[in-house]
Amino acid sequence: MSSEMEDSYQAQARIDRINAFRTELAQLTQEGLAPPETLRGQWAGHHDQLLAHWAAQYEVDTSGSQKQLTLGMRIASLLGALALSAAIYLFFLHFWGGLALPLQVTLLVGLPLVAMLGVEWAARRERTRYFAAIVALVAFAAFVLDLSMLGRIFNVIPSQNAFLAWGAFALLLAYAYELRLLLVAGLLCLLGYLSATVGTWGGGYWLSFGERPENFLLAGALITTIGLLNLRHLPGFAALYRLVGLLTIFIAVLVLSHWGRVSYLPLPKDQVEIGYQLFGFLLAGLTIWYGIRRGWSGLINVGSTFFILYLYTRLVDWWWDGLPRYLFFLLVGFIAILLLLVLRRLHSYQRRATP
Amino acid sequence: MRRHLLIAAGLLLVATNALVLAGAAYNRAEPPEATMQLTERELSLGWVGRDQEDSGIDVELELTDCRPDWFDASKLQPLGFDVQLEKVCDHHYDALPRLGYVVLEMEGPAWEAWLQKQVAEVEKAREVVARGDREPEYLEDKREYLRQVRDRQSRLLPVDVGPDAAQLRSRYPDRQRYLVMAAKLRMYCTADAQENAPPLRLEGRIIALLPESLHVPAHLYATMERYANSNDGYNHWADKPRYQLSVQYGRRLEPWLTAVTPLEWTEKVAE
Repeated sequence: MSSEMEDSYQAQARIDRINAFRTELAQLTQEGLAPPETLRGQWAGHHDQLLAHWAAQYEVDTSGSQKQLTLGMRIASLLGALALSAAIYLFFLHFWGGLALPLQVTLLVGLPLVAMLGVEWAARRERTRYFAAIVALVAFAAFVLDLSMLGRIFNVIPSQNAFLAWGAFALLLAYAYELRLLLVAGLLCLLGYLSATVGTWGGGYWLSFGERPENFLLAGALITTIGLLNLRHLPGFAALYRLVGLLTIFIAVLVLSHWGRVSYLPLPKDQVEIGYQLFGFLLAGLTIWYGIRRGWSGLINVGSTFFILYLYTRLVDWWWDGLPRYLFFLLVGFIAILLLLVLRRLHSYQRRATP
Repeated sequence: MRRHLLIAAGLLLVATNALVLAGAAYNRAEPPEATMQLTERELSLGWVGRDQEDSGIDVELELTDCRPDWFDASKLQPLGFDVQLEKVCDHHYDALPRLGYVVLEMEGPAWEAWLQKQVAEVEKAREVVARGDREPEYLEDKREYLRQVRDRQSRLLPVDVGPDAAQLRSRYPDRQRYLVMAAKLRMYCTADAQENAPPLRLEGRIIALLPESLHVPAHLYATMERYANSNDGYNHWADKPRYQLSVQYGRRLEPWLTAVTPLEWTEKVAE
């Protein structure tokens, strides 16, 4: 698929390479290794043309200061979206009580529909889609408000199905407008739905799905798998699937490695904890290995973070009560140095293997 | 592609809302599953004051005795609980709550028995104080509690529980005396301090009724808002209930309020 965003993503990657090239060229010139003037002129002219073309066609950052402004705009967009969503929710809550039922229902159903049309309007007028992202999150929040309030008005016995509807809606908007924030919102809702549904398979009440971390493992695995497959993902989407999925699994395993009594497994809790501790280390190691193999820094970061987290929680568990505090921290320090040496060796090995 | 996704999102919105509204309409189709008159004792406005950010008003269903003696292993097993005493009483075991159905009786034999139990407590307290084992305040506290139970406590008591609502309704057909409601139920292992009783036993508890609160609709809003704002010196524990609400339960066991009748509450109860 050659979507506009995918082209702008590729354009931004090329612009970053051009800027890096120019920086390195300036350094080489200072060191007395400048290429012939005519060649430098050709490169500069060609690159200037490219930059002007992409700046006219896409919303790209052609310099470091623009990148920082872009980051600022993203943060502002996120804060704005969250604040407006909260405002709309609380505004409705403040005034709805005395309204007649038909008016309540009309407002609740109409608001997300109008907001959805607002997303389309904003997306057509502004190619950066910062405003579209804000309105999209408002539309999502309005849909959450819609079903929550209808449930309250009609005294509906709650079920997990609302999460499915919210998740599907967020994903549809995320894919329509290539909005990563909506993708995360959608994945979290689907995570809730799948985990609650798995929880009911054992006969438990759906709202208690959080009492068994294993309920999250299947959903986490599904979401991670989608991010690992070679599908035609939109830019940045695959990494988010992997991140959300892996975080879910790692956190569930972390909880189970400490509180074996909340497991479904019909084993003594000590055995459950040891099993999940070993599984956690293995999974973290596999994640790091696969991340190195595919060149996915997100995977390496998540795997490394949880490997270290698992390791340090084990150390606290084994030694915190039994050792004097100074000795505990001394040992932890030595282990950190040992890890550093191992990782440095791996690093040089990798450098030699891939020049 | 974007257009198709947008249309799909719109259809999802419309379809989901249509489903919810259709479900509500189905629930409220005649005839109702149950009809009952409940006062502020059973449908209270809550104890923590009104949330100033929320103009909606809800009343909460109050239940007396969420740990009835009869809710033992024989009632837990049909609900799907694993009733192996040794396993459940292992302090490492943690049974998950389950969805079930509970029968609530309104001011019936169970309520009379509950009242008699409190009267017996007062008599016991009288003997204890007469023997000099406790101070007279102990008897006064018991008397005051009896008064609160008699005049203020919810007259809804659970009398049965099971996995099948239709089956429970067939056993308790009086739709103006008995409510069948969905509930969140949990199993516990408890130690029994009574003589000649086994040291450990399994007991069931009603953790939450579903739904736990009922929304006040627009046509009752003005009346109920006066009570919700609570600026008339009303004392929840000392004063009589201020209103009576008509409640209907539908085919999906979801309730709705149909009418409110103000009650005279300012007359103080005789000591």
